[in-house]
Amino acid sequence: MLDKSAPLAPAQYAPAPHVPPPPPPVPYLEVRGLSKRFGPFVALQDVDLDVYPGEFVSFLGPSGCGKTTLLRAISGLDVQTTGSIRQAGRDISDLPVSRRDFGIVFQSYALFPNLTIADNVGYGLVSTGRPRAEIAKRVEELLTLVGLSEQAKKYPAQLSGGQQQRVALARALALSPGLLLLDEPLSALDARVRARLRGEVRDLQRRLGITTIMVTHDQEEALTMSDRIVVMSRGRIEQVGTPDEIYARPATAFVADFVGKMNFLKGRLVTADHVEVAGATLTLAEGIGVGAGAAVTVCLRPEDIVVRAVEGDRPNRLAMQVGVMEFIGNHFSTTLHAVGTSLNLSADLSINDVRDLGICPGATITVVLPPERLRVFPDPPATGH
Amino acid sequence: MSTGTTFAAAGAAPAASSARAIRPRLSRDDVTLRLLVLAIVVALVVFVVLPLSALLGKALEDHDGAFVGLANFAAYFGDPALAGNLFNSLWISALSTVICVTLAFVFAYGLTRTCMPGRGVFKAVAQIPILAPSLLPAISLVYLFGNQGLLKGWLMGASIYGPIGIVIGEVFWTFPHALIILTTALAISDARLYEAAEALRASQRRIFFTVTLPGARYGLISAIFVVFTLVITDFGVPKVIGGQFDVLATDIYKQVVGQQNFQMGAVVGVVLLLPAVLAFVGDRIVQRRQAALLSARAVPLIPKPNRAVDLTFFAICSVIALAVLVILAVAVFASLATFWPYNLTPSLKNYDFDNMDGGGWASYGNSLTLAALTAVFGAAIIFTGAYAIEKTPRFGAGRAVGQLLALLPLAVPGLVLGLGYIFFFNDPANPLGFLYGGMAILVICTISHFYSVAHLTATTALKQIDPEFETVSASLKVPVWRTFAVVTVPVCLPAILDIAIYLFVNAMTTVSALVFLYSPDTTLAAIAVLNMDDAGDIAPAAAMATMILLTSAAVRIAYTVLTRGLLGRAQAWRRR
Amino acid sequence: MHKRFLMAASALALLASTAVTASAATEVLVYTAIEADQLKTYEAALEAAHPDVDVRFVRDSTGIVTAKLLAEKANPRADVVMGLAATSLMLLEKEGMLMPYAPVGLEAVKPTMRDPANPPAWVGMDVWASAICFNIVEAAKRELKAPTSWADLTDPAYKGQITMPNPASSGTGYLMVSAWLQLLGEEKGWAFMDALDKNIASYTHSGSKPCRQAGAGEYVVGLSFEYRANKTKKDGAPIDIVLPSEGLGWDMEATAVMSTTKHPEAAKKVADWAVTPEANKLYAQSYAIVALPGIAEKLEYMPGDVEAMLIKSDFAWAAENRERILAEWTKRYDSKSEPKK
Repeated sequence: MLDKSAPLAPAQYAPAPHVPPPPPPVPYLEVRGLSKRFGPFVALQDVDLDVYPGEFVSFLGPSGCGKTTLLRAISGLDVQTTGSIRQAGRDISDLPVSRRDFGIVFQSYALFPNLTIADNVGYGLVSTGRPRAEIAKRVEELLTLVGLSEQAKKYPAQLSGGQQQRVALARALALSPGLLLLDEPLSALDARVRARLRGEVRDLQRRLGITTIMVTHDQEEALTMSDRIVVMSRGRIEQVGTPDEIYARPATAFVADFVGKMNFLKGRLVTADHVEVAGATLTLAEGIGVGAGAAVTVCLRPEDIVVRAVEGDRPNRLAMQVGVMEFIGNHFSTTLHAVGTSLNLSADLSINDVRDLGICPGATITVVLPPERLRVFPDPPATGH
Repeated sequence: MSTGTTFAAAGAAPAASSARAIRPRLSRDDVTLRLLVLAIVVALVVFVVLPLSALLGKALEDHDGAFVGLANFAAYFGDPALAGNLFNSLWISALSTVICVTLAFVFAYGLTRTCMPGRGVFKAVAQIPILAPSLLPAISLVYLFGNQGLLKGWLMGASIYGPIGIVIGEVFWTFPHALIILTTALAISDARLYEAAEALRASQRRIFFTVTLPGARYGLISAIFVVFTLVITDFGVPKVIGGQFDVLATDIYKQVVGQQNFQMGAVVGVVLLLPAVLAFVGDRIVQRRQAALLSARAVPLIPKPNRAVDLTFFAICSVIALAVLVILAVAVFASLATFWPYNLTPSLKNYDFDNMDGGGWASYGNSLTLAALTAVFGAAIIFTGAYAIEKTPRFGAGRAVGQLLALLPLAVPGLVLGLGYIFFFNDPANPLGFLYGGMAILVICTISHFYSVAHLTATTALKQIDPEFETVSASLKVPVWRTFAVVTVPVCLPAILDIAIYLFVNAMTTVSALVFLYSPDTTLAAIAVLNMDDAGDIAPAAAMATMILLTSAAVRIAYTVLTRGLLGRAQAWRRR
Repeated sequence: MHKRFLMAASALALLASTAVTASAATEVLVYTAIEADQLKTYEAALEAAHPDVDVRFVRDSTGIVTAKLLAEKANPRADVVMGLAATSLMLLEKEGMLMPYAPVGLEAVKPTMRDPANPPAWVGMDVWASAICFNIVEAAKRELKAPTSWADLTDPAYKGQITMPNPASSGTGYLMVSAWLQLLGEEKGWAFMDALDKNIASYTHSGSKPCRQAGAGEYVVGLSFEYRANKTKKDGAPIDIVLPSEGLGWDMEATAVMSTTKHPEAAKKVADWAVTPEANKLYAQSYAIVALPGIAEKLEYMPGDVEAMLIKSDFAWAAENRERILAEWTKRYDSKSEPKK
């Protein structure tokens, strides 16, 4: 019953099936060789990136990975040390903020506390010298767009966090910028509101078709909202790809570790497609181009461990003893020990599986580790990664 | 790399040409802000650094302007009387500091850590001395403990004219300064430490010495530095009540005004500058540490009622508050007596300033003008300057210099600054010489003198508002001045008004810097107090000091009413 | 002045609110040591007499005005010096800072009350003489007898009950010291002051303060001058005024035009006014002896004939030796002096 070819986690969260448009040939934003140094500290190192029109791209990574620095370089807040940025064919590398074309929403929203919602949204419009009536109309339009037309006369402090966030969004869109920058836009909100707003922001972005870059440290946010995700670490891009690619086929051990939960197993290749891990030999779906004897790390997501329909002659079929079972809410986080080896795994077992199969601590069950779900990375020659 | 993952830029040509360093182009806003920072830097150089340099230069010159190196300093330290006054200054300041900080600590402890009744009243009363010139407590002490003093017997034959009077006067005058710092320090303590200590059954005494005192140590050190600097640089109290007891501050005055010996005045100024600068540097170091302490997340301590403790502190604080009120009341009372001490019929005879030394009612008018101009221009300039220094993108060096210069006046005693102004602005070669003798130089000197505290207030307020306002408005193509006017100023209005009030009150009460700078057209109320006291017209001096006190108090009360009423209505957005 | 005004106005917005209204009258800066309460009436009368002269007074005590003038010698600001001790003016004359000028009406001035040179460098206005203020209420409490002579003041009974002006800053102080040295000779004079110093509670900065303090009962005896004594008694102080039997030290308040004045015509008008009968009538309200004969009135509370009690004073000597005497005095007694202004 389990469709093993579909990545589990992203499918759980995706609000609607969405096929991103095939990337047109001309990128809207081209980042080339971007580096940023603060004194001896290298915050960004030789970053190249293309963002296409209408795309929603997330910069994902732990704090200090350079994602915010990259966003600040694109916005002109912290201009890069070297490298170039082109937006819509125009070189904006050395332009000040005010001469670039973007709207921005900050984590704090930076709403002007002493101005009404309408005045906040219309803030940039007033300086354009448009007639008052036209501004009022545009403000009304924007507030309707974010569903806050009733709140126009209130002050920011009188709105909820989610409402404030939408005001900030409306304000950022007021001048119809070519690029929307979102700097951790949802992280100040509580979990429930955050989940709802993800969908709202994403819908809005799609309706307007505005090229959008979001910085986030929240992988769930990145996975659910983005067309593509840029995973960053230590000032470098680790991987760029669709949420599906990032989750199912992490390009590096870092990505594998950072996105989703992962079992990391130290092993050694026996043949090109067999690996010995803690006393167990596992079959791989494909080789990784390094010879037998190489030290490797095998990665497997806890939810990819199969416990149903495990009869028959399937590769990587193991008898495992159930250790601790932790009830998480929608599943059990379980530790498994492969009988007769020193192989330990953590597995996420659905409530149905546990109930139907009578899995309990101490029980021994048969599991399959599907070869196509095993990701193998050659260990770096030296220590440290 | 595994299949299926591609770098979007993989197909792009390698960006070889991008190795050159990017030099960000400046926007109009960047230029505006940088020019503002530069303007502040230039202003502070011209109005603080150059006068100080002129003073230092003068200290190295002889009467005819020839360079003599350290000869003047040798003469100074070779004169036992003058060098003795340095010693006088040091011990008087140390003693006043110990007494003042101890009393203020007890008072602050009562305000923040006990449930004694009347804390609001105590807090308000303890703030009053800040509204009066330092001459007022000195005059009151003459009435209280002088040879005709109401409480002369309390001194058991000792004379109030001298160290005793100076110390009491200085403690009174510096008390609110120490109290503000210590109240803040005690208020930020972490309740969890006390809970832990109590859980470990530590005695109250042990808790005090192991938790309370260490927790407030930065506040204590800061209060010690501040009070010491205030006392050693104050001139009003020793001038009035010092009798034959000379200190550095009166020495400068004596050398410069009495003997017109500017070189020796400059030497004493430099000598006075040293402890003040040391205290300033010490205080800055401590402040930095305390800021680090503050950033930690703490649970505020809410005092629990304890009858014995509360009553004890109520008693102590009552005595202190009563002493403050008595000192204030005596000056007012004496100013209203027809002929103290022989005819106590109330009369306003002593308020007939026009027939006294010091410039009469015109002085009072001048002081109001000075205070108003200082408040308005000072608040505007200092807040705008702090904004530019705080908010200019990049431009690190310029901003650092600006910040340093903005804090410099804190280390410069008023007398020293005023003396520097004489040398700098009265120099025939100075193109700014036309300022000398006018109201403008008094306003400039007062703003410069009190720049630092106002600047710090502005900076604190600016740090509290969202740092991204400027980015948002730049992304919306709104010029920075508009965001400054429409958002920053309204949001920071309480802090701006605080600065204005601070400057107003200080301009009303200050003597030290301006005593060298006033001219016949710009006599000032606080200096009139000094001159009337000098001429023996002590009751009119008390009357003028009372006028200053009442004016400062009225402005402060008006400010409170204004912030609660009008301002409250105009700033509805602050309410949820 | 216009240039200065323009510069000021354009230089700083600050000045906008303080801009002085430009007047057509010539501004004359007058340095003076006249008492503040007298100055008010003089100023009004002077401006009424010469509306075309805008007089600005810089007032301070004798010692300070003298020191200020000497300090500014290279770049003097004052146009006229008025009401300064003759001994001080003689010092300035020696420095070549005064412009000899014979004011209109000079011939009426008593010959003893002007610089004998022709034209005179300075012209006297009035004589101010030392006087002792003695608080009878406090004296009764302490059972102190009123002194009748300078010599009485060295009686140990008065210990800690006498104040006198510091001669370095106060003209009143200096005329006393000069009188004692002239009456007793240098040696005995200093010995007298040594003895007196033992009784002195405080040397004040101003010549008025000792009498004010005696009036308020702060100290019993205040060595001051006759105008302040008279005024203090009039204000209701319980004092007796004592004119010591050996004779009164005295000096003249006098007027002179500065040689460096940029407005000599206006400055001379001020000097002219100072010798008019109107001016002398004003002086006479405060002083027993004035420059024009026949104008003086007896001061209300003055117990004796001040003019008869003045010592025979050698002003030239007092002026010439001023610096030396003050240095000696400072060396001997200054530690007791109130912070001088």
